[in-house]
Amino acid sequence: MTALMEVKDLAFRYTRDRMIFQNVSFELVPGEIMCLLGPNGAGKSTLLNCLAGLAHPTHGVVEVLGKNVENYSARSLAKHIGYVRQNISVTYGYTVREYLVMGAAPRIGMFSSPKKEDYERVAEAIEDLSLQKLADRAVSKLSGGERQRVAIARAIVQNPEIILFDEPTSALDYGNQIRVMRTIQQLCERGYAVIMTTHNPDQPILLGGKVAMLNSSGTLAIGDAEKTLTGERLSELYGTDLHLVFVNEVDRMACVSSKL
Amino acid sequence: MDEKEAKAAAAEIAREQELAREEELAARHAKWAKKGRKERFAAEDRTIEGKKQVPLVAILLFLGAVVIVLSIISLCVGRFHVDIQTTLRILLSPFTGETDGWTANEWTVITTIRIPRVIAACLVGAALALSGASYQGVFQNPLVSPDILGVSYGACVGAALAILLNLGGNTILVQLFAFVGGIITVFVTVSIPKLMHRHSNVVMVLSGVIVGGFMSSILGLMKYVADPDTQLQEITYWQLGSIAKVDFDLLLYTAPVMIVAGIILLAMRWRLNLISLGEEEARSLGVDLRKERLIIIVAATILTASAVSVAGTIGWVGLIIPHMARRLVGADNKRLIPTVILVAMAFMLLIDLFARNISGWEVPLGVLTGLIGAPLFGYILVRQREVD
Repeated sequence: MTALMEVKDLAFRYTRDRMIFQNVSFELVPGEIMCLLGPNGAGKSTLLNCLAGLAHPTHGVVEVLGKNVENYSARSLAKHIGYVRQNISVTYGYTVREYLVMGAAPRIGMFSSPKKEDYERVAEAIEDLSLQKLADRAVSKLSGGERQRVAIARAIVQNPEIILFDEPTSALDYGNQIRVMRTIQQLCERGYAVIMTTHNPDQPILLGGKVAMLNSSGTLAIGDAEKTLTGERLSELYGTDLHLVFVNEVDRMACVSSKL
Repeated sequence: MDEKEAKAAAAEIAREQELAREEELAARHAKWAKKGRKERFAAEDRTIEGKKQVPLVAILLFLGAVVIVLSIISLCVGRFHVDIQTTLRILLSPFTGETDGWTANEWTVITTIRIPRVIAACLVGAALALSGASYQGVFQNPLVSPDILGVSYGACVGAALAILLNLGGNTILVQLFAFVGGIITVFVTVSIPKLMHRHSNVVMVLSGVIVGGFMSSILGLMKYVADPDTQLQEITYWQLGSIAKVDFDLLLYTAPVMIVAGIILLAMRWRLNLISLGEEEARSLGVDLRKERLIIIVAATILTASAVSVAGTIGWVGLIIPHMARRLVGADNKRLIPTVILVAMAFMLLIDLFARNISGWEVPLGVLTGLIGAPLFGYILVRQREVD
């Protein structure tokens, strides 16, 4: 399968001595998921911004469908990459429906407005994420979990090949975390390639796929989650004693800390 | 033996009970797992649904009718009263071919004084409110408007400068000067919060107060050096805001500019939604932010400058009309912008009717909009705090 996204030896530094990340190389094919793990300040969000063409790496290239993201116009890049941010804040009282149709922006001309088919796409996305009851409510008045669903639905309306998630679960309660992850898994099953940042090492185990471990001195490891995640690496990454153990009841590995 | 048997029997029963309990637990787990898988997001769905929106066409038709009725009343009412049949006959005469049935005075008042005045009220109101709504979207700030950002005063300084240079007779040049004054003001006002690295709504309002205040002082200085016989009168007239002197000649040079800028903003109204999401969100939705923001700011400033060239500084309209319209149709600029235009027209016609008829002399429009606008905005601010 041809790669949707190819990242070659990417590095980013703010100043000469402050390296944010380096040696990041990976490929992403349709339906694949990649989790970015790392402590606070390790440059996970910066890496996402580089992938989205919003920040400029100091070294290396990000290619989408064989073309450097910096050579895309904002509009054509938005047809390939969607970006679901951590917490969406909206100044005006747009309803969920009005907010979702903004996902169709890359296909709508500068002097034009959404048409019937765009609203049909919105209706499908509303169905997909069971947002029916929220459709006419203001986004600004929704709870964190509801907003996250709305943000995912907008990415579905946008319908890019790659969706980037910046900490999609960090503001959510446990039930919503699981439901959002299941939704992300379903996105992959549908063929979207997903890159997400997370603070929870269990998530790459649950989701499978790839994992990149970034720490403040550069990049620790990148590869298949199963092989790359080890207790030693996780301990090094977070600077605390962590273990990967097999849990019979749920038939999977789990990351646990030692006693406090 | 009996004791042992009894004990064994008891143990047997206990084991059976334990097995039953385990079975029950397993069944519960299975049931939970099934439900859990099906559950998805349904669990946290709210029971209250949002209100369905009223179709935009219905609202626009209603507002359009209000504007037409107010226009006709404006044509009839004034110090010189013309009855409604005569007014309508004069209005329709180009189509019916009628040439008499009215006095020469009636004809003159309607065609050379009141029709330009009604058109000016509609255009100036629409221009100010449309630029206000556009600024509010593009700066993600519901508290800004042409006058709060200082643009109106900057445009006024530009126009006054044209008068001081004895270019007052050339409407196109006055507009151009007003535009340059306005666009400089807008960029200065916006750059202050940028330099402070603070993007709060209130900081931008304060920045507008600073720049607008400075521009007002320059205007005061200009009045001081102006020729008291000719230029001063003209500048003062502008400062207060009035459409009493508007004629067809003035409209001929200003209306087309306003209409072109208005059409651009109308066409880009949905982009305002995207831009109002903030820089990063807009960019990742494919908005060419620099270009689109610039087009919108320039078009909105042209509208303000032209409105100032026609009527001087009329405050508050650009701020309160978008808020009133938002209450009517919601925040979506696709619905909001056309509504803003019609609400503003109706509002200005009403204000002008008052200005001409509440006393023997004409009250400046800017005075009336301030009297109505300031308390109304205070009310909006308090209400919005509650909602937020």
